[in-house]
Amino acid sequence: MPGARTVRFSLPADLAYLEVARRFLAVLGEKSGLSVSEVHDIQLVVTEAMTNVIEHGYGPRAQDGAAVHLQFEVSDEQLVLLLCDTAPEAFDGAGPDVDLDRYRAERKVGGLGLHLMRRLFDDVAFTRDEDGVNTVRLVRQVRREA
Amino acid sequence: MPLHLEARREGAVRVLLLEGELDAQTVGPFDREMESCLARGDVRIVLDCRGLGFIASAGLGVLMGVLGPVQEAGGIIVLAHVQSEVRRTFDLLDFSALFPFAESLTEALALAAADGGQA
Repeated sequence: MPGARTVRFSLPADLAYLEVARRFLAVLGEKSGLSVSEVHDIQLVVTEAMTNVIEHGYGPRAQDGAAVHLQFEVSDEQLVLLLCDTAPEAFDGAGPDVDLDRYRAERKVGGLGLHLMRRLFDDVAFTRDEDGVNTVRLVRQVRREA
Repeated sequence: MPLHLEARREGAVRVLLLEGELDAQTVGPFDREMESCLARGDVRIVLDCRGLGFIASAGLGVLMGVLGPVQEAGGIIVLAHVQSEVRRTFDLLDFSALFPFAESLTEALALAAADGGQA
């Protein structure tokens, strides 16, 4: 699949669709020539970002029709993932990195998902525009064999 | 893929076979099983991960949540047959050093049954 390709799809803001997103991304990644490891990383960050939107953005107030919109763009140089939603609560990605000692001392604290996103992608940005659209943008350089 | 969880006993060790994918949607039964083990004092635990193809932070959060209490109770959580992509997620979070990883169930059972629990 030469050149940059962009694919957009939308899923209900429901945790039951995490698996659907991963399946779809697996096929897209394979067709785009990405490695098994790259596909796994994409599945992981999208799972984490979607989970944040569904659990913390929409929360129990999610309306019927609430959705997460995904954009997958891969070129020879980079991979760009966008996740957009209109949840009332925007996740801004602020906060310190994971403190491993805290994880051992406390029980079930959050923040692991964001940490994974930051570890796996070169750039992770959260924005909310004036129309109330929240966007997570994840960018990673694609390493190709010469 | 929904998570399939099967629990059995091997001597003093509780073995949980995990098959499928662990994320925020599927983590419930695993969370309840681990809490139940803890409540019973059943703290020598082997997770047989041969069928586990994916783990998200929701699954890791459960493990990290019970690790401290299990160790305080003199127990241990051993991970057996962990697939490379699942192991990678542990590595990314620097969690690999917190759990013994075993190549075989026999090795995992020996580690879990040994006196002294987890270091």
